Parts: sequence; structure tokens; C-alpha cells
Amino acid sequence: MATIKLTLRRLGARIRKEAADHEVEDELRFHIELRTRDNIAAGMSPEDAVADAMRRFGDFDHIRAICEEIRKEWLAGVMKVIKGITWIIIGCGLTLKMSAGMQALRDVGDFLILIGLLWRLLVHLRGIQPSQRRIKAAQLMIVGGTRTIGDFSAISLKEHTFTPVPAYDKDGRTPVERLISDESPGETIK
Amino acid sequence: MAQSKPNLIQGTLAMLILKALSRGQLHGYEIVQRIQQSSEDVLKVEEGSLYPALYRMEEQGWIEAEWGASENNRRAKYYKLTRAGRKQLAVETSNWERLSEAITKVLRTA
Repeated sequence: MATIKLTLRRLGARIRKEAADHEVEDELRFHIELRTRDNIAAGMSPEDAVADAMRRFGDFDHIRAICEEIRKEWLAGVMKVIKGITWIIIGCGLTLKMSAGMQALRDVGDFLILIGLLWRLLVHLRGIQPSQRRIKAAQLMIVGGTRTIGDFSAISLKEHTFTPVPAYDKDGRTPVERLISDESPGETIK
Repeated sequence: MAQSKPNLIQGTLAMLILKALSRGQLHGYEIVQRIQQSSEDVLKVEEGSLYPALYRMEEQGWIEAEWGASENNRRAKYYKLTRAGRKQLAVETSNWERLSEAITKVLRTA
């Protein structure tokens, strides 16, 4: 049920794409504003407070791009399924049209072909191209210097800052899960 | 040698986020604060890096987000755990306890 709700919400967000993109930016800016507010409350000058908030946050544009790409990657998967359904509809329509003896069934076939083609055209016009998304994602991965787009999770001990590494591997497992389940855990603990 | 610590520590971010959200819904900034306060400022989340993690976790169905009003009446995106997220938290906590116990044993005996 939660998945269906999430799917519908995300598809709704895709329809109002610009608003969805602004939502990512709004969320990130809100975080920086709160950090700035707390810095000022702690006695920093407004200029220092903003600079510190930006420094703590990191590369704003890059992080925003990653967040948007994660969202689009998911939607691209959904759209791929929708595209597949259009071909099934067209296929059913053609089968009915070619094989059915009754005029009414042939009409249904014509209708299905029309619906399938219109749907396919609509998807195409929305400019949703999963392959292009993957290229963009690959570019982001190169910029990020990681093998996955997802999680640039970075926690550091107080006195040491560690280089961010992705928390998930290509199978979506966390390093802890990898350590537990891998046949050769030695590869992870180097 | 220096690469091993980050892998172990950074991989726990998802678990820490899930744990922070287990007490109720929070927005991103509150999640950072909650983790830092709970660890008595020993753990420091790199703030911008939190959001790709949140989006990925939302995609995996562990958390869900909803826009609401913050304490100062600003529009804020609040995250909360889903049922799948609670299960994942239990799994990750269990894995972490096994792992840390194993490492402690090695350190004590080696």
C-alpha cells in the first residue's frame, strides 16, 4: 500500500516536474537556513554563519543534482514499464484486428492500437528517455568519483575527516551487510 | 589501512538515520542534530551527504516523506519510517551488533 502511495505521489511529481525539482532545492536550502540560524544564535556574524553553513553542507549543486537523479532514475524505471505496456496493448490490438472474425472485435483491435500509439507518443513527447538518464547518471558518477550514484554517506569521528565513499554496492547492500554475507569478507576489510 | 575505518563507519549512516526516525518524523536538519546529540557529538554527519542517502532510502521504501510546516512555520519535508524501514532497522542493528562484537573479540585476543 505504501509502495502504491509512493508510486502515485512520484508520478504526480513527475507530471509537475518543475515543482518537483524546486522541492529538492527548497529542502536543501531549508537545511542551510536552519544551520545559518543556529550559527547566528551561537554568536557568529551573519556572514560567517552563512559561510560555515555552506562549508558544512558541501557542494550544493552537486548534491542537488544527485538527489534529482536518484528521483529520475526511479521514475525512468516506472516509465520503462509503462512503455512496455504500450507495446503489449498495440500487440493485442493487432492480434484482434488480424484474427477476429467479428467486426466488433476488429473495432476493439483498432481502438487498442490507437490507444497504444497515442500513449507511446505521449510518453515520447514527455521526453522521458531512460537511456539518456543513464548517461547523465554515469556522468554524475564520474564527477562524484564513485561507482554508484546513491549514498555519499559520510560520517567522521570528531578529529578525523574521512573521504566519502558510497554506502551501497551495486546490489544495494550496505558495507555491514557485505561484511556479514560476502563469501570473502577480506576484500572489504582492507 | 586508512580506508578500512571509513567503510565501516560510513556504511552505518542508513542505520543511524533509521534509528533517528524510529522515535517519530523529522526533517533533514533534525536528523543530523539527533544523530550528533545521541552520539554526544562524537559522530558528525556531513550534512549535504545526508540527502542523497535519504532519497535512496525513500526509493527503497524504508522511509516516506511528506511536506509540512516546521516549528517556525516554514515549509519543511518530514521523513518517517515505513514498516519496511522498521524491519530494515532491526536487520541493520543486528548485523552491526554481530560485527562490532566480532571486532571487539579480535581486538581483545589478537
